[in-house]
Amino acid sequence: MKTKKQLIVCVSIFLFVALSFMGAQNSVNAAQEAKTLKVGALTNLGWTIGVDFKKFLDVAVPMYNEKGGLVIQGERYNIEIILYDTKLNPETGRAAVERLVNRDQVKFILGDETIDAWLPVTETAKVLVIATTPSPAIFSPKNKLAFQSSFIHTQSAVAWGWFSDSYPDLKTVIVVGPDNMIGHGLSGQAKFLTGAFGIKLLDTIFYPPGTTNFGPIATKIRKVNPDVFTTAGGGEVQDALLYKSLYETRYKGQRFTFVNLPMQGIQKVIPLKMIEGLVCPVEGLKLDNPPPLAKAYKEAYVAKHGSWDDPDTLYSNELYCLLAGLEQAQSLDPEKVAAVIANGMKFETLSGPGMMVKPPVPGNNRTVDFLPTVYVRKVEDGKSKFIRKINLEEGMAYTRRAAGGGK
Amino acid sequence: MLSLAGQLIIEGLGIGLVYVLLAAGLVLILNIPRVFFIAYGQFYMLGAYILWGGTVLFKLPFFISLILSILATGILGAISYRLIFYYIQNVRDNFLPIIVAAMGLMMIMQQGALLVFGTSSHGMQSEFPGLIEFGDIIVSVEKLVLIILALLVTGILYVLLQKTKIGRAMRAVSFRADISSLQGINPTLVYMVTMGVGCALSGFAGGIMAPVYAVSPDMGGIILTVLLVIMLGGMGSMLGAVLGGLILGLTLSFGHYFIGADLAQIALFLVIGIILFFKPGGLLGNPGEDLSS
Amino acid sequence: MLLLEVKELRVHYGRAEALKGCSIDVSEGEIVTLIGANGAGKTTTLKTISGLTLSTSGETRFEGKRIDRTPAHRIVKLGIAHIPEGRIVFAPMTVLENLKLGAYRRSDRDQIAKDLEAMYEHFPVLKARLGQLAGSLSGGEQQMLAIARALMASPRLLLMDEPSMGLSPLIIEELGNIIMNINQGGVSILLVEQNARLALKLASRAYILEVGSIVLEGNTEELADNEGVKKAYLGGYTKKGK
Repeated sequence: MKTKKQLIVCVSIFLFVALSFMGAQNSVNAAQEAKTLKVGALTNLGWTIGVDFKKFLDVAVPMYNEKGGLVIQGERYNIEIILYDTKLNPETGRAAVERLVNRDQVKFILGDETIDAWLPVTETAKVLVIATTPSPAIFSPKNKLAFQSSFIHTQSAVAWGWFSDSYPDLKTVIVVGPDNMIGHGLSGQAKFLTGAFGIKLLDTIFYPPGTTNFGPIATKIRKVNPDVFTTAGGGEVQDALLYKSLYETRYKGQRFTFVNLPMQGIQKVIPLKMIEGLVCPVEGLKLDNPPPLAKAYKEAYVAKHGSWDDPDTLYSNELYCLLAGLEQAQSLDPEKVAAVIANGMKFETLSGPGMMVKPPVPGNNRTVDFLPTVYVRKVEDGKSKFIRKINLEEGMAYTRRAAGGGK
Repeated sequence: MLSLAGQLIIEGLGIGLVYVLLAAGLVLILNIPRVFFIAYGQFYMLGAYILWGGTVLFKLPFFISLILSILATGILGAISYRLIFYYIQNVRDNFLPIIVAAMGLMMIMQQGALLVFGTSSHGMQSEFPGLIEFGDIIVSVEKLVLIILALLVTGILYVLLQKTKIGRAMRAVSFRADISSLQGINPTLVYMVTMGVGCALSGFAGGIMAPVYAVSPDMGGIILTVLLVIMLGGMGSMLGAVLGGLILGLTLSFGHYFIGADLAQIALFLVIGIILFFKPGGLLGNPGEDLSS
Repeated sequence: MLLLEVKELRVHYGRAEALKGCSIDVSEGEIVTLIGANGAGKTTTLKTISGLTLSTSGETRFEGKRIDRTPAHRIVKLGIAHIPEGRIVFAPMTVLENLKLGAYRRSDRDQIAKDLEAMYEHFPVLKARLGQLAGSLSGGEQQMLAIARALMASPRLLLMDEPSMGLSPLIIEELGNIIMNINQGGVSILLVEQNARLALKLASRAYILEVGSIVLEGNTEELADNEGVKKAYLGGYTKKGK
């Protein structure tokens, strides 16, 4: 009896060891089969959205590799990210790019806002760049391999266009923003787009970036009493305080923002009834029922980082744009991938389908900018509700109208 | 037009009174222990964060959190005197050592806040929602509460300084510490109390500002404006601090409305420059005068 | 009975020695005066007794207890009041507030009120000016206020530093009477004066201080007859006369 028992134990141990060994062998084989495609990435880890981008890459890249990775003409590639911190400093950014190009030998770079400092380097080295930047330099026709993948240029055009179509009776607007680069950039955008869509800009008010007392500004807005009031780049707390002051003056006009207003952040400061009636665009990811890719991403994010802490995804399209370009081009040649992207490539993002378009600025025919599916929400009865999806065709029409000066 | 003026006055009064409190506290510290206390703004920030933490994170009632803000900043201020400035106050040529020590404290508190609370600013929902209308003038209840609380504390401070024994001692020490000790007053204790009261005022101001405006780690930068208010009012004068705070609040309020925020800032400095040109000691101060009535 | 006992007191300001082993006694009920030229160390002696200045060696005893390491604000409570040189009153505060500050260490409210009444009686000038700022008083009035403030501490020993300085002869005479009155009320006095004539008249014993050391001590009658003292300290004053 005893020996029988021993035999069973021995056999089962042998089986267990053998099986585990075989399993390991399998995975080793798989790793050997797949090649690695190195992709450079730059960001500023000194601010939250940069850190959020790193966290995004830590989740989305393994997710992609596990689902089979990149397959080009039957050959499998795992994506490997080489991330450098630019600290948003042009010098550091340029040094990082030179290292990526010369030492790490990457052919694809996910860029950041320092792009103006190093774009000539990548263009000469024939390296494909997909970046997120408010700088219009990237749109220049002399660049062949650089693309802009975030919604920051197009969404405003779509939002203003949709707004002017949906509220045709509202004809005057005041824009209020901080007296800094973001505020001036966005209010410049507002100035151009209101002109394009036939809304009269009565005044643009800037406040010092540290302002918290918006009483006098709100009093002024109420006095001028424009049909529409919009904020430009104040950040959630200052925007909320501004809306609060405005509410306290009993201003009755329509509240509208042409950039995403983070409702959760706003709600920490003021009750939503203070912005009753507000309409604003929203990323698909933030919807109660987000697009499929976003759902899977959220799950993987929770598995990796513990909980969903509402990370910023401004830069996420850089990765999806590059992967889609590689897949659709079925080539690792940056020029061939660029050609596909520049051909109005459509691809799936966290916020639903998106596509490459001509930027909504006059006289630029290069297809270098990104148009997302834009969702609109409205605050009704103190709650924020999804009311409208603006698909790519409609969006394209608005960006064209904006680029053409409203025609 | 009258209602517009009224509205702007209320707006200016709210922020102006907060500056009054802040300036009053710093005037005490500048005139009694004579510490150039640049870390003062960080106590304002700390007070705001304690209130925010108390009401938002720990769900405490507003007034309990406010009392916590006052106590914590007051005690910390008193301790910081005893542990730091006590040792350098009587050193000859102590100006630089005091500045360096205060700056060190400022940096510790500033970076500490960044570490603990993060870089982003926090807002909180109003504790006193609702609006009140006086004719055409609309005032939010929370701003009214802010104004009432600020007036109340200014009143308490006046009574404390003018009518109580410790207040008399504070004024006496401000005049001559050695002569005061001959009356049986312990200057070290008075200095600690003064630092406590001053920092508590700063913390209180931060606390009542937090729900009306917002909380961020860079709030401590307010020290520059507070120093401006004190210069405007006159270095040694309590009444000057009150006047300076109100002038600042109203100038900004009317300035933001009529000429825009950026120009208002310039106009403010212009007004202060002109006043200081004609009255170099500030509105109510004589250069070298001590804390008096 | 000995009230104040100062033994071999040495004080340094930096490297300079201001007192080089100075010994002084004051008995209960006595007026003792300390006479000396400018810079002899009179003010330093008083400051060291009242705790404003720390001695480097020697000891000070009050009613037999050592007080040379006691901080100034505690010495007041023991019963020593010090009227500093230049009659420094709290100029930006009212007369009444000055008087109340004198009684800062006391908690017997009823007795304080009585003492205030007594001060009004002794110093009618002050009663008329209770609400005025001390800085607005005349020199003589400020001296009265400084004395009254010191008395509000209900001291056993009063240290007076140059009370007659800068006052007119008429007021100096009044001051003399006040000092005598205070002494008759049971308060011992250690009086520092440059006006040696006045001091020798008021005090029963005197010490003569020169560059940090006591050079002469004795009864005032004897000292007033001493030729050296006459020459050095009384000469100027006898000529001026009254």
